[in-house]
Amino acid sequence: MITMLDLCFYMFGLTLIGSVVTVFLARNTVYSVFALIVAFFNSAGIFLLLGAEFLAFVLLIVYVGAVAILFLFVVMMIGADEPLKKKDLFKNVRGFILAAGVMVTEIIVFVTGKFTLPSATIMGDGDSQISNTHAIGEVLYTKYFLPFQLVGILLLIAMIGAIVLTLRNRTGVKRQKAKDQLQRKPSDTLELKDVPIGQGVKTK
Amino acid sequence: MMAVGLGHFLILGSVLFCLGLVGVFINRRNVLVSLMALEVLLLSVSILFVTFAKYHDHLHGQIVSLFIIGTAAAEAAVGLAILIVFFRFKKSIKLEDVQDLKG
Repeated sequence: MITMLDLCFYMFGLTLIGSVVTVFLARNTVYSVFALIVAFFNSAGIFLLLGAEFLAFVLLIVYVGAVAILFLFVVMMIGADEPLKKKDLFKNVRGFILAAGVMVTEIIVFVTGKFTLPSATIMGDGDSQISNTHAIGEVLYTKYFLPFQLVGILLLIAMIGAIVLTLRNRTGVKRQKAKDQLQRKPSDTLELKDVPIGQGVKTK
Repeated sequence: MMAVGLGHFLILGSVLFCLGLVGVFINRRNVLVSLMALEVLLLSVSILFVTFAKYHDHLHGQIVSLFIIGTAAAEAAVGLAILIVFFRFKKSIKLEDVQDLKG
């Protein structure tokens, strides 16, 4: 018996894995970014299945709206796409073995271990009267106030760092100098003269 | 197909983590894709955190996941800024070219 939850999980999960694979194998980096956006959408679906509605929408806003678009801008700025060549794919065998080892260990732990997993449905816990967003809001500004502020400061530092890193003064570009314009006085540029009749003004 | 339990979500998160790890390793040519692999790693970790939050019926995991999302945004901003500065100097974003400190 396949329930709606199962169907949604397999749909989101398989699309998520497929799009992540596409991120790494796409020939053009722009396609990688689009596949990354698809992956973010599907993981938002997974979050919804887990009952974390607030996080799902934060994920959409932050990842799709900010991070992926940032990636897209950088891809378009740099514009260099080096397609993955077949002979490079197996150059780094040690990395493959490490990743495969982690994977196999996890599967062994899951399959053979004492780690029993409840197979009951996950959607819809009965006892909560308040919504997920309400619950997060109640603890985020009270119990987790300090870490929340620290993350804010971290984001501020990251923003300042990104601006400082990428700022440059280009030479040879004509630009408006507002400070100089505002500090101009009439006495700097204007000279009043009495003009004698019949003689005119001598210019310097 | 069995009925979906928490184990399915854990396996999904682990598979994503391994895919991200592989992605970091196989992309020796394009730093951008490696940064995307880092994003996938952080995403898989936050999926695992939310899964465990559900398992323990406690909001800890979701809050930590929220902080992970914020940190990932900061990491992406700084990483891409460094990448742009690197590209300005070297006119290349290959990982193989990142070895100036070697002398």
